[in-house]
Amino acid sequence: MTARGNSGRSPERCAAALPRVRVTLPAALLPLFPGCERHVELAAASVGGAIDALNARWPGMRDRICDSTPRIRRHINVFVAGERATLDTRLAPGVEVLIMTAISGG
Amino acid sequence: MAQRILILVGTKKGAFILSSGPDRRSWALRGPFCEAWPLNHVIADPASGTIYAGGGNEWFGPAVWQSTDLGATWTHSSDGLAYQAGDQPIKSVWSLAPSAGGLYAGVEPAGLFRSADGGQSWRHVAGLREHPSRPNWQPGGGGLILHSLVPHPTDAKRLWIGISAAGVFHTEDGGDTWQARNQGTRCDYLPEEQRYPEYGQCVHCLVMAPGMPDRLYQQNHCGMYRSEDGGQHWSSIEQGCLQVSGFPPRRIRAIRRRCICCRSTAISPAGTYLTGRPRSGGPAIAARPGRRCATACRSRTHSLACCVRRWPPIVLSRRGYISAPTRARCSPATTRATVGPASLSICLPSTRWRHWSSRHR
Repeated sequence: MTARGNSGRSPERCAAALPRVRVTLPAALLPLFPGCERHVELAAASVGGAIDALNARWPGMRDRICDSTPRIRRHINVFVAGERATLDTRLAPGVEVLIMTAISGG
Repeated sequence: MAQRILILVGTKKGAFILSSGPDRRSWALRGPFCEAWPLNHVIADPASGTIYAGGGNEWFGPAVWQSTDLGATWTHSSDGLAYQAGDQPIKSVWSLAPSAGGLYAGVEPAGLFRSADGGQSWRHVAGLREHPSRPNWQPGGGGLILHSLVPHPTDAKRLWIGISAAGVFHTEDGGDTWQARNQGTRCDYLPEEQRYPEYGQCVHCLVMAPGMPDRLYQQNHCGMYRSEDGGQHWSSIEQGCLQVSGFPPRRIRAIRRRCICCRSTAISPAGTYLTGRPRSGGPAIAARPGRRCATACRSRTHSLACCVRRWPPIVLSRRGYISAPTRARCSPATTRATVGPASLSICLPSTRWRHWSSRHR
């Protein structure tokens, strides 16, 4: 299956200068995007930037994680280094970003 | 060539496709498709044969799914299916309708989108939400939902839509401007002297009589109605129904001269749905309880969606039973599909890809 979604901000621009982080995606998201992997290494300065980078690799993924407000969807939680995060949360080099489906949405 | 019948079923746990030959004696069930997303409407585009499924996932938001190979493979998109930043996000897609080479989608909270590329990308038809009545639209029990889309068959600029509980609206300019078309439909939930407002009616389902663009039918929270002038005036046709109004009449469906309205057996006096023919020139339905399918409906309870091309009809129940009797025999060849508690749409494409659909709202 493939997907399309909004494309906007250019992701991974100046990626070399951005901290590299490890993102873990929810299992339920993977079947929506062919070739998508559970664990993704990417460069981003914030959670929003990380989602932009994901959207660049798999167009449409931002729409699945964020709504048009824009903010992280109501029943999606993002944790950075174990703490709940927003789109504006900054990312430190090597940090782990967990994107999880909340039990409230299932 | 033998006719092949497909039933497209949208459920809270994905899309299903049943297929059979013209005798409807046996059915093959495929699904669930679309990663078991909740899907409110599944249709086939008669022009292209593409199957579209609209819905919304609690985790991942709204999307329209497409299949160009009768369900073998699917893609999804929500590119452009969004209001402006800061507005309430779209929760789900509730209705789909092909029109003049494009595709309309009605969403919750109520709004209209159009795709010109087969559902790959979407453009907001902003004129509807710019209607002066918009700030006063009130959600029905299920939400503020644009659930009915009725394009004019030959004039691409004309379209009727139904919103619970804002009423029926019509455009003659492709969606730039809209007029409320609710005259004669009542709101029993308002003070007596305010029961016929310009808008605010809780329409549940809006359909057009095939081949008769000016004749519309609507099943409303408060009654059932027919219009002979494209919705400018509505006349009650509920006289003769076993139960006048409210939610029990799930459906009113015009098939040439035949109407059918499904009823929830939990509260319907007859324990089944009702069929009837609108009297020509008269306001009432000459009602008669459903006979041949009554057994199936009674035993399965909670029929939610019904589609009639020829007698007998195909009925989908809340518990996932699909009653699809053969034409030769009245005993229902029931197929059990584990489709969850809220199966919502049926569509019947034939080899000519004409289709008929009926949905719960």
